[in-house]
Amino acid sequence: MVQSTKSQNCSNCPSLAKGIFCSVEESALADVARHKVTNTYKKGQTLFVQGNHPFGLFCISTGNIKVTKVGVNGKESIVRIASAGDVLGHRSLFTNQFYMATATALEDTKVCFLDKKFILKVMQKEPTVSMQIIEKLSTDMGKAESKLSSLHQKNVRERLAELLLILKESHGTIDTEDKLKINLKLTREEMATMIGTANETIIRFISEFKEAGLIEQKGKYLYIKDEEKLIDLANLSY
Amino acid sequence: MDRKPQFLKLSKKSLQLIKKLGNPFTYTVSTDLFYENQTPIVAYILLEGELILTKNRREISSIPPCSALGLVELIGNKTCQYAAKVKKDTTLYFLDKSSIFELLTFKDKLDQDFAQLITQLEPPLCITCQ
Repeated sequence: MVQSTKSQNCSNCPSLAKGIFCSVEESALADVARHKVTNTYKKGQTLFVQGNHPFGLFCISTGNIKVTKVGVNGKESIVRIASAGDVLGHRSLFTNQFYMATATALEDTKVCFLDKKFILKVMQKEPTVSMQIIEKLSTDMGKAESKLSSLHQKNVRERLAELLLILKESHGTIDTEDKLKINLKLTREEMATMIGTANETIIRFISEFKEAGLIEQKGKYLYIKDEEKLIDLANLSY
Repeated sequence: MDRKPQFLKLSKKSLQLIKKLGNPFTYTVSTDLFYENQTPIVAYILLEGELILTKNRREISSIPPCSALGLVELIGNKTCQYAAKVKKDTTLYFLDKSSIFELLTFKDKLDQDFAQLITQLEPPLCITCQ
């Protein structure tokens, strides 16, 4: 039997303040709410696949999505982690190219979809939406340039320290014991692809960091114990 | 008891109008279109190839060519109890909500049941596709 879904008001979205519609008036938001398609993607389910036809824009309400690219050797690497407030599929809106990467849910993730024609019309009518998308594209570009530079200029230890700091910025929370938790479950393999190294290497360096008291692990989560030392180790230029 | 999935068989004249809205796409790899208890983000019109429906990872049925899948759910903002997967080398057209609004201008030329279905879709008030 086909089940009905409740049309969710965009004004109540927990990610509204971080998203592209943060400055849009209630009436326009109501239109977005009527037009969007909302789905929950379970861990491992894909929003879109590399090489496929783009349909529009995905806005992440809650959860985390890994964006991966498969190389010619068939190996998959994570190029980005998208979280609440982020958008996906926006590059294809402007380039008319097929999806250049695959987006897969890392956990139960609630995502709203808006088709291309609609979002382009919204961008014309609401310049703040365009500005927000430009800001996100600019931020993505900056992060990609930093990552490229790190891959060329830093060793694995430095890249791992940098990754942990980046994850702390994007997913860091203070837990009940006042500890800095990276609230994101990533396998060692996934982390290895993010910094361009082998699984065995990252396992070795994570153990090293634990022994040095820089990080600790509880269950599947990593905690940062000594942020200052990690910053020194990451050899940040800013 | 689970009902069989709903799909709409389209006539040549409806397909001709749909073709004006965009180009078809051929999937080069087998791909999940949507999962169980999800609302399809677009409706899929099968031109050639194979589109199968599954439940609990078990194949339930396939869709015949020139059929639209996901249209009822997309228009009604409803979830589907079935997952849909497209096989390699399958060619589809897509109908998103905005395209459905565009089709409303041609509703007199569409199949009656198709026209009746798409008129249920509520157009946006301050942002139109016209």
